[in-house]
Amino acid sequence: MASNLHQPTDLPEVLPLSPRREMLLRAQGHKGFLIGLAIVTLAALCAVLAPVIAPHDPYVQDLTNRLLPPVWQDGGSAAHLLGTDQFGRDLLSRVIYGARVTMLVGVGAVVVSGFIGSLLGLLGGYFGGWVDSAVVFLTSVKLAMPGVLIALSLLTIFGGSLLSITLIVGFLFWDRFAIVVRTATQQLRSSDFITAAETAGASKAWIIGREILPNVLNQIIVVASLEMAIAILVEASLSFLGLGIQPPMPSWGLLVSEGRPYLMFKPYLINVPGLTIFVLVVGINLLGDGLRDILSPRGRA
Amino acid sequence: MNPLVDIRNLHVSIPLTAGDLKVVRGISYTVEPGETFAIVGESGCGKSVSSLALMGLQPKQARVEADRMTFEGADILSMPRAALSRIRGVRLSMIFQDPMTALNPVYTIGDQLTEVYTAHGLGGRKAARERAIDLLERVGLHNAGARMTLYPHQLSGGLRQRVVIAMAMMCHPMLIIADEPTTALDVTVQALTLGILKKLQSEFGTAMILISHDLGVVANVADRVAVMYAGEIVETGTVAEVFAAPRHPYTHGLMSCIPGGAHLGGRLPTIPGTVPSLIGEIDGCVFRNRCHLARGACNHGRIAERLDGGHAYRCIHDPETLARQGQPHAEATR
Amino acid sequence: MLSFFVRRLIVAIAVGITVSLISFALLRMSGDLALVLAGEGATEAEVAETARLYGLDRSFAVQYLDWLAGAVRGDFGRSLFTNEPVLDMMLETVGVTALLAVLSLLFGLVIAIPLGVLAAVRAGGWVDQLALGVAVFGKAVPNFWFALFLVFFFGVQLRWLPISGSQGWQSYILPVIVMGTGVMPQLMRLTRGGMIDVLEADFVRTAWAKGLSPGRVFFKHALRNAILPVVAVSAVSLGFLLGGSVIVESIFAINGIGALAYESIRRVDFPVVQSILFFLSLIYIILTLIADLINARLDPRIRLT
Repeated sequence: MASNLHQPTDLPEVLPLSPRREMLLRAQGHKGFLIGLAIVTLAALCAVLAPVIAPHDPYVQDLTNRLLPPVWQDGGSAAHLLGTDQFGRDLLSRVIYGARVTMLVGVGAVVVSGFIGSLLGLLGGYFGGWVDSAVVFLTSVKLAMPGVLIALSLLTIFGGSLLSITLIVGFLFWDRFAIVVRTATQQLRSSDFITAAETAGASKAWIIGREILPNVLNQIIVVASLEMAIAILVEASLSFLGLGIQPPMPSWGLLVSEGRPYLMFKPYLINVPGLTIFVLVVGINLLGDGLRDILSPRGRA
Repeated sequence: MNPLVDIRNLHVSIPLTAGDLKVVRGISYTVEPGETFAIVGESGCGKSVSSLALMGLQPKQARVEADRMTFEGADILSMPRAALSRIRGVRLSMIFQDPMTALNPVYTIGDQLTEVYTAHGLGGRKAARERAIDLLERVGLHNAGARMTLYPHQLSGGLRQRVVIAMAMMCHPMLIIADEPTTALDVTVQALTLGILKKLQSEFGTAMILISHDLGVVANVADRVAVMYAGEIVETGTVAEVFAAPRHPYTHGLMSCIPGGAHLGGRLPTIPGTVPSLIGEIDGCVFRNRCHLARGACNHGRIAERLDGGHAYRCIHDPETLARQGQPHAEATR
Repeated sequence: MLSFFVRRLIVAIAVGITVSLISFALLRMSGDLALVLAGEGATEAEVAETARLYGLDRSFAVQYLDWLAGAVRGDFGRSLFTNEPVLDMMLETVGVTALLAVLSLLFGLVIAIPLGVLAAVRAGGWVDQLALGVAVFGKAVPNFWFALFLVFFFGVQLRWLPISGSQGWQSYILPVIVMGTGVMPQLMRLTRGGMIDVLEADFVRTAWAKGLSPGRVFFKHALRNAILPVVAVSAVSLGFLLGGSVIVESIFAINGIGALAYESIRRVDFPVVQSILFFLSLIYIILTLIADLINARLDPRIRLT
């Protein structure tokens, strides 16, 4: 019966494999992980190779070819596979270049938030006591504040640029890292190898950096992948609201916002970038869930 | 008179990738109305699973097959789910091992007691309440009316198990299956709880299948006993027959290494060796790798059941050989 | 028990004070707020005059304490833009947003709980697959695009529903679907996970052994235990919905507190912005407190230990 799909089954002992090889085998058998990996790889390739792949310059306006429909509709042409926007810019090229913004902000924000959150989590989990109370307190404060509104406020002050968005999103969404890393560190804190390192006289920094961090890294990676999806959605929302990436730079959220006036007659202008965000975020989530299954098959959250 | 429970050639297996895990391998027994039938054996010998199968509560992935498995003459195996639900809790009920987890933590004990009565349409809320209070008094929870509003965590383990016993009796069942009913309890309240169970059972004329690994409990409470090993019943008979003159080397080993005979709290002693793998068929006697009487003839086929009146056992050796050579004490070999 | 809630309350108050400080400081991070308010090309004298007018020439601590003292009495100052009392502006708009958030939460729960229960009962079956699909969709769909798509499909193509405004119950349908979809995946995963654990529990086996119907076993005995974490998360989700309604309010032209915040942020109306940030955080803090209380009511083990 397939009822125990999500539970470890009582498999009899099989030949022991090296952990890395076992992980690789699990990855190869994990459909969601493979699909997610393919989508994310594709987006990354678009971002890196945008100038090579994109059929047109995403910034060049061509007012004679405004609002061309995509190729599968009447009046569409192969020159503009996904049609053009209100300034005659090629939509496909803008979507491809938009991957740069999305991936840069997504990865950058997660690096920032991952650093802040993991550091807080490690400190709180390892030292306990008032340090831990402070970390928990900071996390509660962070959770209580409306993130999107704060991001919007900060953006009006600092202006919407790639750097400011990346930093702001990074500073606002570190809580999950802190919570997960703190719990994991607490569990490790009392294990024998930490006690051994302490008795051997290792410094606290060394223990945190060399003994604990490598052991919570898997969990950080899983959270990072899931948080990247959120960072991408937040960037798109901020840009959609007009306070994030500023035109004419192509951000997917901005593309949807630019297509909004044409909702009624040119729905592809919002649906193409909207679907693109959706597919990428699905991909990242599949990748993240897959990583969790692969990296910690027994420690399902 | 027809037996209350009639099980013939019951098999329970769980499919695994390495093959079928055969937890119960062709056991047969009957339970008469009002009697107490004990099943003893080490954990993993199949004693719990076989009686869960009688309730239709075996693990989801388990496969149950039998030539015959009836309760009050009705075939349990072919019974639709809904019909099975109608007799569960009413005609046959169950007492589980751990009273700390067997009761739902978020409902009062009154709610959990009356529920089984009203859900089966035996009466209204008022009648159910009266019955519940009466039963709670009988199991020794005084001032039961006031205690109906307590939550399980407000009672000690012993009292909780009494609530579980009362709950099993709510609908006046013909049979109670008690799966290690006192094992999880404090030693000091084991005898008391067992006494309450026994008293209620005789007052209501209810039959009981008692699953236990505690020989003392079995000796005190049961009329007949079946000894299970590796999914098989290796010996069965009245308590007097089996305890006084065991015919199977496994039973013999169990009995002989209890100094001073069976007493309450006497757990199953350890016999050297390990239980054979339960995956796939076992050729020959299931006990032979731990039996010092084993010889060539023990290695092949299924050992036939030998009868001596009501006393049945699966061993090719004569009782005299067993009595003379015995089975070494567990302590002596350790 | 009581001491637990007293401690919990003290922490909540401390969090509230910290939040008020951050809300207040946030817009002052740009440096000189007077410079922004005086406008580009203002002379030094004009900037100094602006600073004096808005009390920005005082020290930060004095400004903050002054504002906090007012806020505690319900005086959040006046809008720089409309000169209305900020409290009135917030009270006028928060009702619509609260209604939207509550309806969205209910929508999320109405889908999440039955789907989560059924998915757990037949883990791996088609309902489970469907639930997984719905969760993946809800987590990944950008709400602004989903909103526009629904407007396009139901409002423009089918002409079934109004596409903006907050008049009449029909205008709430699309916003509620969009916002409810956002919070639903987490609620469903929690329900499913909790149910899978609880269905293995001994007391559920007891319920089966009592011959209870599957409906009673799943919904009365299992769900009540599995739902405890869902209650806590519901409160958090409600807070999240209240603070995250900006996009939906702007797309559907709903005059809620999110739209007010957005507008005020755009015109640097700092008394309004800081007050809304503080106000919404305060609601969130209160909601999580209430969630703890509800949890204690539902779980007698917490209540009495």
